[in-house]
Amino acid sequence: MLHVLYKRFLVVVPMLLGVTLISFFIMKAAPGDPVSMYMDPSVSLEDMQQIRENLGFDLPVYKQYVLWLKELCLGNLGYSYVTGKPVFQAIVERLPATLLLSISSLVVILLITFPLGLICGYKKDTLVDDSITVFSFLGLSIPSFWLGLMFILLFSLTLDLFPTSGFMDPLLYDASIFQKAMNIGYHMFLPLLTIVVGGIAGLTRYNRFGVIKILAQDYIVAARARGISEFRLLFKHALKNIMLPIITILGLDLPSLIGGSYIIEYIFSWPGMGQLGVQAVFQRDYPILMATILFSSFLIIIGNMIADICYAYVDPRISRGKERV
Amino acid sequence: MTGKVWFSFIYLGGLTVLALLVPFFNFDPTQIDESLIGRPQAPSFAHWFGTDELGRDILLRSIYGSRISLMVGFVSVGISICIGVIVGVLSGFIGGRVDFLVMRVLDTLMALPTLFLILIIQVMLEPSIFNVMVVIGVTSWMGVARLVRAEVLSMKERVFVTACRARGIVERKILFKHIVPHTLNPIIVAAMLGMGGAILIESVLSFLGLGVQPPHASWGNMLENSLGYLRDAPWMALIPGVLITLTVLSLNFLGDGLWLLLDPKARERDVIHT
Amino acid sequence: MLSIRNLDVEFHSDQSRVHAVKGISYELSEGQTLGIVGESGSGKSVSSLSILKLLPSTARVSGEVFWKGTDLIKETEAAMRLVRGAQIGYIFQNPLSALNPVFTVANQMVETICLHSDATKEEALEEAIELLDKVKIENPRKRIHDYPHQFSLGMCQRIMIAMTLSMKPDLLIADEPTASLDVTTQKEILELMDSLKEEYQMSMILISHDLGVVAERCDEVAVMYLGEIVEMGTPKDIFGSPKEAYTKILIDAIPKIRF
Ligand SMILES: Nc1ncnc2c1ncn2[C@@H]1O[C@H](COP(=O)(O)OP(=O)(O)O)[C@@H](O)[C@H]1O
Ligand SMILES: [Mg+2]
Repeated sequence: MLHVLYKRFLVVVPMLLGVTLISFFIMKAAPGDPVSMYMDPSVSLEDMQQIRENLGFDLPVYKQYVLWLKELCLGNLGYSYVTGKPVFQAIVERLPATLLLSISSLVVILLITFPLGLICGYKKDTLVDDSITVFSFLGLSIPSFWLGLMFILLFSLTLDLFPTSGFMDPLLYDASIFQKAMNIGYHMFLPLLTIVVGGIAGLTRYNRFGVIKILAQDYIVAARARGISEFRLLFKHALKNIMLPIITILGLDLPSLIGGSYIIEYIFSWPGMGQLGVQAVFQRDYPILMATILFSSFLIIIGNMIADICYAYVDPRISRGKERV
Repeated sequence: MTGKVWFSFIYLGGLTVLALLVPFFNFDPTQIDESLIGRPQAPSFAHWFGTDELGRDILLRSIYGSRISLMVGFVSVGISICIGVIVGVLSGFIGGRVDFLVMRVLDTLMALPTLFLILIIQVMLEPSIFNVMVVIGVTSWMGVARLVRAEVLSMKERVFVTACRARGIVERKILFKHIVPHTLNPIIVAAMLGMGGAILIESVLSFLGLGVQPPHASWGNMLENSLGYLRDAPWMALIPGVLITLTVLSLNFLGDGLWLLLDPKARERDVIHT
Repeated sequence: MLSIRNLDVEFHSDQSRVHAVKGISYELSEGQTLGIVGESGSGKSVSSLSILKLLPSTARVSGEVFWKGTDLIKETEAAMRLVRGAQIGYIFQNPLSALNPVFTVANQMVETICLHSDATKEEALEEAIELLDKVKIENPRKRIHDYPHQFSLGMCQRIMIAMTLSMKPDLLIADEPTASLDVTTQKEILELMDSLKEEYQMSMILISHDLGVVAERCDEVAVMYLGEIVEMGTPKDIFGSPKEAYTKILIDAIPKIRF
């Protein structure tokens, strides 16, 4: 197990550096001057120049990057152009809502996609398989933000079943934890549903192919030759093997899942990093934009690392090296 | 399967014909009906898809919107395939350290949330249809590069390349005459799926006001306009969304159908990932 | 005990049809060993797998497979499950791919034993360890908790044999059990199977592309070529006076130096 972590670490560190580099250049390339942004117009040009020098703006670019990286490690990402609040704080405040929504949707996606993929793969080229396949293509093709709008139109405006937006009713400030959790879940339902529809579509297709491939393997035929029931074949022998490609694909899909969920956060006014980021787009708030992409990439890289660890955990061929005798 | 492919052919064919022909008729998609401002009309015989908040005909605007979507699909996928093929072929063919380095850069780029990256770049640039196409193209070539690289690597090992080497044919010739053409099939499939993706991204950008600017019509900015009328004029939101979905769906069906057609063994292999 | 009549298998796909087995017939009585030889692709595996109805759904099977008086071709899946393993055991050519890579040997063996008896998990584990000992796996009490990839190919085949024997089948179908092993291991495995066949009083169908392997230990030999049985008889007949040109080729292909 340890050598898996170690190997992964060697890959992740340069990736993290690469991501910080990209974020740094986004910041550099952004129009507008961070110094004059905050300054009273009455400050003289000389003073402004002095401030710039103090902040290291006249240094060569690579030194600026190193300085910036140092500040980043200390949790200093600059200040929002709009609110003047520290960016780091703004992001960290938004992190829990984003994590709650993405992790819940991931769990729901997995819970749905496994049985669907198993059914499709097992009953391949039957009516059930064909209809699920058409639906998963549909899910892949629907613009998720529009689907969110349609859910609002149907479930909120027409049927009045779910709230259109928000995280929790402000009136519940001093209600019990359970009540709060229920209320948050209630608010989360529609954004979750929207993300899940798009998410299961792609995964179910992969899953289906995985199942077809695995059901044709020798060890499945061999298990069947020992009289093992179809149910056990599917839900014991095939399932654990199918988890492997799914973990890989989930890791690969994280960027689009996370990036896509930001638009959904915005549509449903879910107070996460995505909503913050999309609002910053409208306000041209570059420090926030830079920090959002930086943090999202961190999340994605960490997610990928978790996926790798899970993979190694499920697959003994990786976690228990080849000690053939 | 064939049913899905036929549906896609007919739908995309019809859409393309409409998109190409509509400028030759004397319609103006930006024409405002003063008497209907602020009172969108439901679909009727006069306006099949209804009218929007400025009394403009939604059918006509939808057709003009399809011009944008199809163009974005073609051009941005063209760009991403050019970059992807060049990077993939070179990386795979040169191999060694260069390949290793390129793959690590690809890993890093693929760890960025693409959609959000595009939003940021788009904010820095002028919002215009040209920029939309370039930015989508430039940010979505990584999948193609990986695909092509994998194909080149497997091609490199095949006998016929070795046979060429043995006959003393120079490397460059092997590359362009024998290896590149063989990567064509997966590229065609990736292009179909990539076009769908590009159309989706364009709709998000225009929806957020970062893409096609009014008064020009695109499916995305029609959706943006519909926001204030979600309850009173749901057709304003419904129609562009359905059109986007059908278009992307057709492209996905086609990609999938072509994939099985071009590579019958594909059923047993992994799904192509873009 | 086993009687196969006009067994015919055809694979159907969108583009093509493969007529893999063309109406073969043979009989096998209790305690006997039947050898099936033929080159790769001649339909040995397909014809044997169809006895247990283990072919993919693209296969069309016709004919009769009488096993202890019932026609297995007409049996339901549920009834087949009682035949598979418990009455007819099957050993595959590639032992590593026939074991599920993500479960330990113990897990797979215990599952199999519990399925065919009333044993508790602990009893099943003890039995599995005993069986591994019998097929000469060293230190079975510890090794049984390893995963298949941690064993060599020969040891995987021993494990497969142990697992199949745990169900005490009346007939063992061994589909090229030694084809993927090196020569010394081949010999060990074959000898192991010979002694176990004595001990368990099983009938056996031994499939091989090597006539030499089959000749030493079979009561009867069937030679398959392109989906048909071209010649059948005792090893003595076949070696002494091969009627078919194809059989002669097979005889010539036997390595002259044997261990
Ligand atoms: N699942 C399948 N689909 C189509 N054809 C198959 C399938 N399995 C086997 N065949 C074909 O059936 C023929 C016999 O195969 P097989 O019985 O495996 O040969 P062998 O004698 O080497 O065991 C071969 O031509 C093979 O290509
Ligand atoms: Mg075989």
